[in-house]
Amino acid sequence: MRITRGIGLAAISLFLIGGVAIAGSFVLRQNGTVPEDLRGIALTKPLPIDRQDFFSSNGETVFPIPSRNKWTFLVVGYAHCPDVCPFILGNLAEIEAHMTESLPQARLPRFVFLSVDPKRDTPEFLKDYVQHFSERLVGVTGSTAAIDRLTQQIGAFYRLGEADADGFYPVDHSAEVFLIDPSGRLFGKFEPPLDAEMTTARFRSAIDFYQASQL
Amino acid sequence: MAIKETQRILSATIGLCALAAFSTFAGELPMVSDSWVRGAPPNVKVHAAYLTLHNKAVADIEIVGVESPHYERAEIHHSKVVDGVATMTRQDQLTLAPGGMLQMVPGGFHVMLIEPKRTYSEGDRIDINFHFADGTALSFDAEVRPVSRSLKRGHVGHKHHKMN
Repeated sequence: MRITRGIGLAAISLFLIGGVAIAGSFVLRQNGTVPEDLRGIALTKPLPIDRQDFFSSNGETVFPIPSRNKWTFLVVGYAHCPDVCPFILGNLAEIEAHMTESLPQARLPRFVFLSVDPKRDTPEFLKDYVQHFSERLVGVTGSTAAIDRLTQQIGAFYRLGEADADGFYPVDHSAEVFLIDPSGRLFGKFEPPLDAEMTTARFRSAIDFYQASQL
Repeated sequence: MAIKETQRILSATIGLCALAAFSTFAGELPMVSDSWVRGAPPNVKVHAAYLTLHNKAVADIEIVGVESPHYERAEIHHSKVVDGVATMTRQDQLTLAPGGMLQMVPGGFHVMLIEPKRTYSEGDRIDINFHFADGTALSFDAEVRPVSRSLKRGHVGHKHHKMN
């Protein structure tokens, strides 16, 4: 391909897609109830997610993890991804570091990387992989059925690519950060790259908003 | 470290100057700047190199191949995020117009380095060679950087652009 032609198209499509994605998939909650900084991020109504069995870096687990007050930042990808996943996970590690400094311990969320490539990403492999980014990042994978159901329910996409002559296959996957509330529902999603300070502020708003709606 | 000491000392610039002395082409040779490789955990066998390629010549340059003595294979790939979905496509050929600049940054073009011959760590220098359609080649090296430092270097959906 010619670089010069691709650039204009890429720029235009990114702009359009950004606009359409934000306008199309997320509608504001009732005016006056949604904090300004959660517009375009929070879903109109949180979506319930079925709890299923997965494997985490620490053994078997259910996901979403049952908990009374823990939120989860979830990223979908695969460990053999050389470009986009390390970038997003590095970004997530930045967010985690910033939140660890600025939020009380009890409010700190979980950070989870869901591998949609369980064939290559065994739990042991995932453990080594995620720790490279942050000690608090948890790697999770599971059966194809469990992965399919979870990704469908949160509106994430993935598709395993065709293997080349050497057996390497790329995986197309959602490059978003999903926010799951303490009730195990999809609360909203962020488009990377995420600014650490802004994301922490938005996360505080999400907590307050969630708590107010529980009253 | 084991990567040849001589190659560490020879910067890409010095290599290019030496090459230029033998060149019969009008105009300047292509040049690479800002090259680096993102550090990865030892078990990950697919890495990415980023760089900026400048075409200062009066004609197109066409990359038809890439390889590294430190990896079994290398390929050029293009990642893009469309509708929130990341895809990655191999580029068998890339053309860069005269005066053009191709920025390979996270979330865009990158050199995919496959099957490292050993474990590389922060500060190691990785040699990479581009092969062009006219039969010439360009050698440069790229420093392995930790993820944390890599982060400052680009963002998903970064738009590469041409410099006039």
